[in-house]
Amino acid sequence: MAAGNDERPLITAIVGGGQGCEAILRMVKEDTLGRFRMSIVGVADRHSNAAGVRYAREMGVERVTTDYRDLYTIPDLDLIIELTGSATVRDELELSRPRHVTLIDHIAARLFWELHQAEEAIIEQRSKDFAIQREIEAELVRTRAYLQNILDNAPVMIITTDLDGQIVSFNRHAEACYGYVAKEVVGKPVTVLFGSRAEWEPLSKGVKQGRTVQDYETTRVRKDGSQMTVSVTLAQLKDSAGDMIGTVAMSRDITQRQLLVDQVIQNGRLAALGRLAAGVAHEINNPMAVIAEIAGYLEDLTEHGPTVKRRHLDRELQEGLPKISAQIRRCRSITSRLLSFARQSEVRMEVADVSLALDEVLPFLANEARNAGVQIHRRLTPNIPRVSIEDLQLEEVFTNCIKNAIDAMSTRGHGNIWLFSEQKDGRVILTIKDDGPGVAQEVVDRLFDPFVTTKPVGKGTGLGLSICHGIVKHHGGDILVDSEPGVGTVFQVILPVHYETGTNDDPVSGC
Amino acid sequence: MSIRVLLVDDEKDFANYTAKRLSARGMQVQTAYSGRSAMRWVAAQPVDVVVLDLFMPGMDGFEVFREIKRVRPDTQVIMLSGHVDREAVEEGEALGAVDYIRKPCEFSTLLEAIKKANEQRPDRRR
Repeated sequence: MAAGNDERPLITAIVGGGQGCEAILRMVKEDTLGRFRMSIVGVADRHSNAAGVRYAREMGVERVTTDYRDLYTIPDLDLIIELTGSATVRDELELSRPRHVTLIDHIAARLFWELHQAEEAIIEQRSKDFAIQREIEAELVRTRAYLQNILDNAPVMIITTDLDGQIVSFNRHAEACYGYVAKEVVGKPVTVLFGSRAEWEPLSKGVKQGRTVQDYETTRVRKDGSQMTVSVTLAQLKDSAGDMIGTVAMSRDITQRQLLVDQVIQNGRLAALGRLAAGVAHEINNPMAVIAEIAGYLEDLTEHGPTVKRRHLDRELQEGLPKISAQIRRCRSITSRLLSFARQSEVRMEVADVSLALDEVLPFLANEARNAGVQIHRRLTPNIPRVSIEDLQLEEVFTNCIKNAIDAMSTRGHGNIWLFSEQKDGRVILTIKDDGPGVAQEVVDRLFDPFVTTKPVGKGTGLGLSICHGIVKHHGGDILVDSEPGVGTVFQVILPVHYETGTNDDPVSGC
Repeated sequence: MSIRVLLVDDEKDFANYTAKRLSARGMQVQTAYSGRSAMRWVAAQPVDVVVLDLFMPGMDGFEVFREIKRVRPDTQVIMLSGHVDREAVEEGEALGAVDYIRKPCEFSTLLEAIKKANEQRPDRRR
């Protein structure tokens, strides 16, 4: 028996040229993958018109015969497949075949056939599975590309971290703002971007507890070491089970905006300085005019030398000269107030005392109040703690609010303003209450919009209150307004208490 | 005949000393320290020239101005002020003020302004 060499195809002949034979012939012919190492070299059937016989002839099978014994002489024949279904034929083949030829009967052939079909089915299924998988992968790629598109093109910095605070992703806008390429920072602790490492603890704790940190303004450090001011919104990143897997921070670089706000505040200061200068000039002109007249009068007297009695001259000198000195003292207090306002160029501590701020502000407004017939009543609670804001900015806020109240009552020619202070829940509240005409709710709602003013054209730019609102909010406080037409208006300036750190760098105690 | 002047200013020393100086030069000067007393005076006595400080507490200087013109239409009014306010100047001119003087001023300026204002009076008292 010739052993089938693995390389060599099985030389095969088929007895029984029916449809089964045709099927096998086709299968072998269509076997483009060369899976069947079988070569069909002979077909035998009594009926030379059977389907398989015809197909064999078409295919050019070497030996097509009506007598199966003709197959035995095929050189190197390995296998005969019997497909007649007849036990008799099978028996005959079994008895007469050459010893080196293996016989597979129709039952065995059927078994092989079904195994083959099963295999085909598996292959088909696999290929379908493969197609689905490729579709899924393609979908995945598209989704990832889309998300990446979002990250790349979003005009906000998007930075994600894992639970330990290591940077996981760093989008294009973040690269542009920080000056780092994503590769340089991914995997590093996010604190490399912070101005102060200490910030991460409370931030991450807050986020872990499920709180969203929103529009939190802080500083960050760029690759080149320069600082930028950012507004951060931070939230948890969760997996599909809802468990936290990290954080996502969306930030905007607000350094420019901060500069603009600082500039607006500065312009507000300049505007205030302008008003102050005008006020001061006016104020100083009055004492100067008095000095001029007294001095002029005394000069007149001395010019008329001989005709003026000595006693008369002495008396006039005694009366007039002290008055001149008094007016000069008045001038001095006016200029020293102007100089104190000029201190704005110095760096100021962000701590102020409400009562002291009012002490600075009220003298400036005294004339205006007097002219408008308005009386100001101080009813401050003693020992109110200091607040976290620069003293000059606090003075600016008070000046605007109180002046606003005075102006509201100036046409009427009379009115009262009460100033109260109180401490509540870690905040100080300064209340400015007037019994002026009040304003309607629609006006109150827009009171802090820039350029809203109820004053006639030319009498106020309407910037003052919106700047004040900005200043107070920037320091973590608020300004609340309540008004009832015909009854009056209440402004409440609310600021956080400044908690002393217990060091000796207290600016006030140095005075 | 000496010019009858009414000086209206809430700065008493300014009013008094200016009055003394003007009197020494032959004018008949009265002083009023508020708009109200100015109006009372004007109602009671004829006056040739009023020198009026616009920015006094209480009454609006322009209200005083209008009242003076209403009661004594021939009286000339000179505006006086510690600061320059363009609107005030325009409003004053519209009401018929003949001059505007800023404090502090040279005494001679005030003197000439009063004399000139008197010359320009419609009824021309000399």
